[in-house]
Amino acid sequence: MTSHHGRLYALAASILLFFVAWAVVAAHPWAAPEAAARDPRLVALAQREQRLRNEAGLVQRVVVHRSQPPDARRRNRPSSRRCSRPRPQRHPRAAASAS
Amino acid sequence: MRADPTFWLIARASGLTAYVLLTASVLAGLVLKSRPFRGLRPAAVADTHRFLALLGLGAIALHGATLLLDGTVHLTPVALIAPGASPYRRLPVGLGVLAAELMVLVYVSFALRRAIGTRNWRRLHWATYAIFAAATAHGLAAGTDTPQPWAFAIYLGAIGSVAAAAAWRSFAPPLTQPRRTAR
Amino acid sequence: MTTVYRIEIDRSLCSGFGACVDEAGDAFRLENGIAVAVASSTDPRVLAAADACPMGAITIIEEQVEEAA
Repeated sequence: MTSHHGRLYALAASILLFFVAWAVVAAHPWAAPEAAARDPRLVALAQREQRLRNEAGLVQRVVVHRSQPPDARRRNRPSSRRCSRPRPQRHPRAAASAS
Repeated sequence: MRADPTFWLIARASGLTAYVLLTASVLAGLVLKSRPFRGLRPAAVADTHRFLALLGLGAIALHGATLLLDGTVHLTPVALIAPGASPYRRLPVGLGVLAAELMVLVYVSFALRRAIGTRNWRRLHWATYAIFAAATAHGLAAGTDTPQPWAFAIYLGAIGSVAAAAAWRSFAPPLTQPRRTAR
Repeated sequence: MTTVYRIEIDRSLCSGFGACVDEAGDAFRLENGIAVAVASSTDPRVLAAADACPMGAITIIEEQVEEAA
């Protein structure tokens, strides 16, 4: 006897099950991260990566700052030594280059 | 840069699906003999039992195909046919290959039961316990998702339900219909 | 009038499960792994036996027969 209802339910349930399994598995695509963290070489590598990333940010800021023209550099200097009013040119060479 | 994980994900999903379908088929087969539920017609359960096994074989085929197509583990077609030929987790994968091949054998044997004799067919069918055990071991040892609690729960649930159903089948006499008048 | 049940077993379907024997052991028995039955029976349990067969190999034909005087 062919149980058409039984086959239909079985097919529908298995298709549903497959896609649910796919979605759940995709939520954890790689092998468990705890396993990777236990490997000391990978832990050291991750720390070095983080350090380099931080340094790269600082380097990038310095490069951007140095590529600006001098008076812009002075204006954008991230220091506390900033005046509220524009200061007069004191050095004769600075005055010459500013004009 | 990581490669596209789609085949790897489908391989894992289809493996889990195949395992659940195998468990469902085994449970249906055990229910057939022990008949704990009076409302189910044995002939319908028998057909569903076979169909679930067929669906399970389909899921296994998808599982093998996507593992071949994926680059995460380098499996050759030989590794899918010869148990123990896999470079990745040799014993667990070999158990999976063995379980799949036995399952094909048992499925095909039903169509050939006239040729092999009904008694021999029934003896061969006992191999389904070995298939289930090998598939469980394969999933637990070779499965990427086994450390996840939900996956582990699936394995425990499957083992528990099959053990309970097998115990029922062995020890409980089948429920017989109450005497009733002619329909 | 009594109801008599004629029993037919499709030997190509029978796989020797023995559910029929469990249900109506007076009417069914297993011989060489295939079920054989009496030709007819008045026991309504044979209906349950037909229902219990996982292969659907048993057909029951109901007949109303005049009671013997």
